[in-house]
Amino acid sequence: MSQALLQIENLKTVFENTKSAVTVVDDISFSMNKGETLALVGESGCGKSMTSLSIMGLLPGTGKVAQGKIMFEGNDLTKKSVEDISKIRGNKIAMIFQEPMTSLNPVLKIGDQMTEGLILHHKLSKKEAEARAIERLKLVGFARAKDMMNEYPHQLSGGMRQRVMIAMAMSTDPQLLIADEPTTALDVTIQAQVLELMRDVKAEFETSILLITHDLGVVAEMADRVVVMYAGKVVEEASVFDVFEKSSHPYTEGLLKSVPNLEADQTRLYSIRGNVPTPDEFPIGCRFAPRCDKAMDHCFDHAPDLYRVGDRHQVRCFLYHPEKGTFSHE
Amino acid sequence: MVKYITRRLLGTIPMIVLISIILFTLLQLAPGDPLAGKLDQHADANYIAKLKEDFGLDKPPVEQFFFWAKNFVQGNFGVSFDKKVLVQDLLSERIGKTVFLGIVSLIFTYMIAIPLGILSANKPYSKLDYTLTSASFIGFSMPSFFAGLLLIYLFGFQLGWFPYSGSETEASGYEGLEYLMDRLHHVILPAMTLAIINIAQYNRYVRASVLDAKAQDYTRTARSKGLSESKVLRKHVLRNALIPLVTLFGIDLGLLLSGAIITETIFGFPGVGQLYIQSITTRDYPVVMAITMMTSMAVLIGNLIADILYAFVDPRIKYD
Repeated sequence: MSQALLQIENLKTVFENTKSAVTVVDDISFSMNKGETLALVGESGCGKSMTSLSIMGLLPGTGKVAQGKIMFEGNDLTKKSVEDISKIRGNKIAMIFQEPMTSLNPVLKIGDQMTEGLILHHKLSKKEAEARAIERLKLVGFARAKDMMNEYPHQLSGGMRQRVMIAMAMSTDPQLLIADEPTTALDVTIQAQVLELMRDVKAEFETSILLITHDLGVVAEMADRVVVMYAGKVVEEASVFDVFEKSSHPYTEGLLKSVPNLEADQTRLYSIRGNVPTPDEFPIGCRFAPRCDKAMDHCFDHAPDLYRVGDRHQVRCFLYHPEKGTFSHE
Repeated sequence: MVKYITRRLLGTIPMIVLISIILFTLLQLAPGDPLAGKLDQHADANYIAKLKEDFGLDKPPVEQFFFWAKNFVQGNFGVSFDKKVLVQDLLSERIGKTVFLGIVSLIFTYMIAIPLGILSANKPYSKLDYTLTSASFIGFSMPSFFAGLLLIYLFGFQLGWFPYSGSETEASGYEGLEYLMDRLHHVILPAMTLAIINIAQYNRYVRASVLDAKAQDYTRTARSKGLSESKVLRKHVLRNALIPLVTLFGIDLGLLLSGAIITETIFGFPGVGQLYIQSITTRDYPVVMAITMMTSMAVLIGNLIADILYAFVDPRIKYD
């Protein structure tokens, strides 16, 4: 654990107003090693984006980290001042977002947006920063990088903009790249291109990638390890191999079954029944119990812990409780 | 761009023709005529006929219109029925004053409304924001004759800081900078009166626009780069947020020439607005026509200027 680049301990993120507080990320822990790609998987609203924004210190509105530690290179980011966080954000930790169409500023030239971080963090002159920006744009596959510096985002397609975002995020040589659904808004062919690009970038700079996605295909292609989230909690943590071969949590199984399989003779695609609960009405017991086919009576009024089922493989489900036999079945 | 501007300018011609026809018709339909109230009831019928002939009022309306239009196109706005001088002479001494009033009031508006709007948007739903919202509501609801009187009472009578009548000190013999300062001194209260309602409106627009831009993805991207909040605001938020204001600016430009009827009247400010209301009461057709046409054209051109400005502030807009 000592060489962990990012270690999240018992992170709890809440949105508060004067009347009530809603917990969107509840007691999450995971760690990432240098050079590792960790996929944070879950349905919309499970808290995966909020986890990443907590790390960046970019929670919208009234959101804030209420508890826990975010250890990055041995320093707790939650304890740092706004200025200190600003020195890390966009420098050692960079982020790319889901919506390339709206993530670039429409009224500023690409060159201007590309060089901002370099001038701020690396104290480069405008000229040096431009040279570096052009180099990074070439790296993400733009042959005419130099001309692009003078263009505006609306002159580029969605895939091109996402590549610009990647080049921009990688311009400061970050140790950690947080990619929040980087391919969700793109065409399938462009998706593959962007994923390949992220793999190349990772190989070249030994960047760790925290990949936030709901797409298990992307997970299989990119990730070393997987953290599955459901309703603000981690429900399973495993290597990518274990997730696909030995997935243990009924929710993870459900997710895998919902992926279309060309070989199986399916007429109807499996779907997990019910809906994701909203943060203000999370069930008291296991949060997945109301939608779970294997739920026992015990599950509805007791919240499970994470139980070890293998090497670096943990599952939040009573089926893996060491004394599982003592629970009454349905 | 030249092509676009030419096309737009040509497009304004039918609008101006239409406006002039409607305006002329409305004036004809209005009760009374330029002679009403000017002659005593025993006046000689021949004398009345003579006067009507002098003003061209004896001819049928359509003929009157074409006579007016022909002169107007040639830059001859006619003679004021009431003041018996050329309309262009009457206007030229007032336009400068009215434009000066308008520009000072616009400067007040922008210099106060934009910072207030940004302040509100920086801490939405805070005490400051609610205070500014309430103040805007009051400012927006206050009629300008009331606001004007309030300012006259406070800063004119009570504090004696500013003069509250006329556009300059009569027969002062001021020259150069001193003269300019004197005019500025006179224009402050009426300009502020005009600005109050604008500030109340504009700071709302700015607040909404800045709040909107702050919630955009590109602002989050800018923050994710580690830029300070003030840099994010200055560089990323404001450049986007202030673009919609260009539209308002275009309208303001157009209205610069029209003057402010009520405010100019309250302050005895000899501008276009004051002349306008006088001319309407005396049915001074040539003056009313000239001022209304001038204002309409200014609004059309102001809008065109706004559209052209858009191309400069927003790279997504191109005219070709």
